Amino acid sequence: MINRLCLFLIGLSFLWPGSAAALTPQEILQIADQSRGNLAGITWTVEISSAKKKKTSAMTISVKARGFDIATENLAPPKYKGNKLLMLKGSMWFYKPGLSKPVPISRRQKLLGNAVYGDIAATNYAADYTASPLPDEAINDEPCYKFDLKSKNKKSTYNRIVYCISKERLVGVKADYYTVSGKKFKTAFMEYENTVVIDGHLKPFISSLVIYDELMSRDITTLSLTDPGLKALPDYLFNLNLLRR
Amino acid sequence: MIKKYLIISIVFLMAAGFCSASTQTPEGTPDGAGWFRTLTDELDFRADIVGYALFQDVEESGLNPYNILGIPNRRLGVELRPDFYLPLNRLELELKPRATLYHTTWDDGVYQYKDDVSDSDLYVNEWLAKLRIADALFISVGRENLQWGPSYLLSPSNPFYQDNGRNNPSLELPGLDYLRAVWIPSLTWSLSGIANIGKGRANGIRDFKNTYALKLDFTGDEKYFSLIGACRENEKAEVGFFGGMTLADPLLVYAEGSVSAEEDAVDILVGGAYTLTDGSTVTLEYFHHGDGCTKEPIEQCLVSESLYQEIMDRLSDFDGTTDQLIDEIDGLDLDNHAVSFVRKNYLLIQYVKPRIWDTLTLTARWICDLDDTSSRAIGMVNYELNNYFEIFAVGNLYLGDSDTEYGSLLNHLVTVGLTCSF
Repeated sequence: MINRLCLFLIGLSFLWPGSAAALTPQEILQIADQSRGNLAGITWTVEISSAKKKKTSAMTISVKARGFDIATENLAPPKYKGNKLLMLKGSMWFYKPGLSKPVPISRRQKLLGNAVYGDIAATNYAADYTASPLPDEAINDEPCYKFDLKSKNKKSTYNRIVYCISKERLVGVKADYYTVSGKKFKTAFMEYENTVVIDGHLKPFISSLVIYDELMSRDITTLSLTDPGLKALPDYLFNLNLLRR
Repeated sequence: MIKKYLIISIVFLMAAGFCSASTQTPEGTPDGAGWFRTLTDELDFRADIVGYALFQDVEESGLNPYNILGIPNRRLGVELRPDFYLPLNRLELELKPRATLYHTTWDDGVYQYKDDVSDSDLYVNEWLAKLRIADALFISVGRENLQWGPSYLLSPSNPFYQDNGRNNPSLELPGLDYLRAVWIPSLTWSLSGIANIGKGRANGIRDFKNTYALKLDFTGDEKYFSLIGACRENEKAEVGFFGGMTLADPLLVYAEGSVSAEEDAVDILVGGAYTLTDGSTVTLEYFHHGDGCTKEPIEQCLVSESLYQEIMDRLSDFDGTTDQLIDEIDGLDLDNHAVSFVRKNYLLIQYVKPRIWDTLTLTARWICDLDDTSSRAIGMVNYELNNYFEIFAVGNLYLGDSDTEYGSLLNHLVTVGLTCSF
């Protein structure tokens, strides 16, 4: 009930004159990015589960994020406990107990199921992609803007994304990801039952990301984000020299 | 003298940390109870139990005639590896004690007459006390496996310990004794002062000398760079560096190296890694060792004239028992770990296919000595049975004549094992 009330209030906050109707596609993307991280300092917990045929796997990760930099630590299960990930200014490093040192990795590397490491980082679609409007579409009966996002450079995790953003809530609710050759290879649905207060305003924050493999297996990977908390995060949390091993 | 400084540092860090942590104790809480609660609430713990069996086929060669290096044919071992971590406000404490139990067997050369050895060991491989003086300044003291840089083959920029242990991840690298200070003026820059004041568990280091280094790190958009100035006591300085950048999201390129005034040589490693859409990664590295050796056979690069003379003096016309001969060889303190990257030019090609069905990771690696064309093919399999158990297997095939780098000691090496994490 409280969550629904919060979402209603969030919706109302966007209804003042000069809001969504006057926004450009890039501005809409920028607002949607705020609900996917990209804040001055935020912590949350991610539970990832992957269902492949009859087998399920799961892991729990603690995330600290500031802007587009993130530092994560695996909390469970025991075989992954202590694994760490640091993304600083676009460079990503991975460490796990037993490895002698952190190793640089691409955001494309697999985390669990269909999720890649780039999926737990904040999105910066407004800066990394050029948005072209497509005909509006309703996702679960919710009217949405639909944008064709083309990567501005080769450094983005995905080459092309078709992204649906709720007109009312200004949050991304569905994304189709395409390979360079133009094949759709995964689809993600997002929900925003978390809230955070930014500058006195209540903002929705992502609570789940469900990823479907579109190419072969139709496997499903779910990222559930809980306990978002805004707090100042000092530079040292993102320093590779101080990464605890 | 150094131990005295070490002890003073530890006491200082502990006192400072306890003092700062005590400010967090709620009013009215008895100190003892508060500390006990802090300990139980904050102590973080994880552990692995690793059981393994290692099989090696020893090559008869000029470098290791009659297996005088004493390379075992089989080793069965169990290692308990707990990691403890305790954050106490500004002070962080880490402890990695280790207990090992192993049984070693020899089939080749003079050592085949040696009795099997069963032994155990209890030691602390790593420990650390780190104090946050301010958000931008940290000091620490401890025994660490201090590694950096992006390379797989080795870390030529590291003046303390260049082996990064990638070719047998089931074996832990030894911790060395360090004092460190890290200053972080911004997210982009940091500066570390590092003193290596003891060889710690790295018993393979023969002529240890204290080494001091300054490390400057820069992190920019999609790129990073580090410069390391180092000086070993009574030796000339060396400068190390490493850097990398993301050319495209799946493509990382990097370089790492050092310039040594002592050896008047430049070491440089360049590499790149490309990650495919399915998450598998192909890595390519080339390493040039400026001070590398091109003499043949390989023993001329590894056995000094003086050591060779000592071997001849002690073993020629030897007329004692086999046990006495083995004791004599043991007394030579020969080191079979010295054979790594002694030549000038190396190539690494690696393919990693991670998380197949979320449980299986396959690694294929090929390392080639481009000077004598010998090579080492490595295959690794890691299979996660459930949330606690993982099976691993590492196979090494050594290709080359017996007078080459990779053909002179072993024909093959296989390690299989089981890891239990909790």
